[in-house]
Amino acid sequence: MVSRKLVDRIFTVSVTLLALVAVLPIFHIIYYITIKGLPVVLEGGVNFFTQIPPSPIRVNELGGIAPAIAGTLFMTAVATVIAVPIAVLASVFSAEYPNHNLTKIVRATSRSLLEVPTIVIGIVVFALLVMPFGRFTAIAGAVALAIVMIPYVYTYTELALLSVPRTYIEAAYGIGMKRAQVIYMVTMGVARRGIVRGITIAIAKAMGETAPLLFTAFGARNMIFGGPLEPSDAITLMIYVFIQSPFEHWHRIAWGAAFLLLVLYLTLFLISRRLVGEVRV
Amino acid sequence: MSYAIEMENLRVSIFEKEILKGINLKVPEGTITALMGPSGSGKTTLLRVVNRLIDLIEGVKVSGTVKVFGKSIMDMDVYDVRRMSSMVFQMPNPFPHMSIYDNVVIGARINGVIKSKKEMDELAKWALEKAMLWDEVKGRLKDPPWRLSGGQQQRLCLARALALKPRLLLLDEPTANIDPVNTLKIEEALRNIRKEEGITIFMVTHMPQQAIRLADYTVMMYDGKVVEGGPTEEIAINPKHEVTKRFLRGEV
Repeated sequence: MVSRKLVDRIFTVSVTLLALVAVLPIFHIIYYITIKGLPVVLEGGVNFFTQIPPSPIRVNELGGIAPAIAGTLFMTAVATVIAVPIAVLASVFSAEYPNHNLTKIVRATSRSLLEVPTIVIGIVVFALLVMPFGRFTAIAGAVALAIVMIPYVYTYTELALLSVPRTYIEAAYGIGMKRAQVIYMVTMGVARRGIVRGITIAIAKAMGETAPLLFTAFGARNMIFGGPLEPSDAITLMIYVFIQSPFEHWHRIAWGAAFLLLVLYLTLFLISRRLVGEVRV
Repeated sequence: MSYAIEMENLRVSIFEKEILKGINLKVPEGTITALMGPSGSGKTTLLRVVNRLIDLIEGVKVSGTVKVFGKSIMDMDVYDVRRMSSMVFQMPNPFPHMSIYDNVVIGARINGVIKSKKEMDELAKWALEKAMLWDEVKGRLKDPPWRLSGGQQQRLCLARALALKPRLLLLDEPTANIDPVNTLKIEEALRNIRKEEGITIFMVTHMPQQAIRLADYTVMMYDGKVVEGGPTEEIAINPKHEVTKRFLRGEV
């Protein structure tokens, strides 16, 4: 009896320890970014959100990362508006006609798109939307981000729709609902948590992408936001450039930007959890 | 006598497997008629032909004639068929993302017949009273349905079906997953619905006792065919077929 209890103890302790080891890197990242980034944001104050970054020679200035914030918000928003309707409609089709040939094609395409390195997506959009017009634009960046988002939204939404128990769908048809009503009022309603989770993860993914923006939005940080048809900065792009530079104060700004990105993530996930009520089936 | 349901030589197969093998059946209007038989005899399939929920199944073939209140359901608009004959399922399945209130009135809302909030409230109250649930939920109509017990959820489903003001109520083993107290409540509700509203009730059960307690007429099914049918007393006291006798003894 004693040995059985002992085995149980050893098991519990080791599982707990392994779980801690698994989450440790996440907490380490959060901790490290906060330690390095929070003081920069505090020092910069409001200016950090409203000013453009200082030139490399003004080593004593912190300036702000307004162009990067504006660019990230604009491009992510436009990408969401493009990606969500396409991906959600495609997943509704897939869930309604799971054995249709088109479904098989869409599913295979989406799965491969998830595996494609995002820099490749950047190059494709460069060829399609940058080369012909001869300029880098925020819109091209947004389109590249939308392509990154689509397979995420599609996969999560399809999964959520397919996991709606059949019995609710039967009940909906049973009270005389038409097909579109069943999809919109019941299937999507029951699956709303999963759908929103997919959209949230896709938005987070888009906000964190650098590679698709390198040859599309390119980056521009001498003014806050030039418009959709001008090159645009993004938080990730700016971090990528600044952290590689030899300038101490640019490194510090990059850490502050990383912290801000982290805060944006947390806000995004908290809002999406709050916004959509739980559905218990 | 006029009939709520008339079936002639109804055959249903799903991917070449024959489920119903030539059903002839009449359900008199204004009665409670029970359909009993062992698992796999085709009771649920037969019930789903009546409101054409069977259309949703892939690879299904239906032949023969089925009339509901004298009209062939194949010639009617499928949505009219379903509104006229609403259904309560084996597992309680109130829509989990809607409130108790919305669950009841959703049918009326999508049909667009009722416009005013007051009428909608009255409909909800009426349906919940008929389902004998009103007293338990009147103070918390905005709650989600998972706050209710399984038996209450099933009565909510009954209210949802009633709120369509159907002429025919189809029940697929409505008490199979419900405790005895709730079972008796549902049975009482059904008796009252038949008596006060004149709604015909056609229910599947695999409990002979339930058919005896509740039904005016009973139909026995076995292996995709109707074995016998008639007034419940006759079937219960003097079953003609061996399989009915064995079913009543609880052997099949």
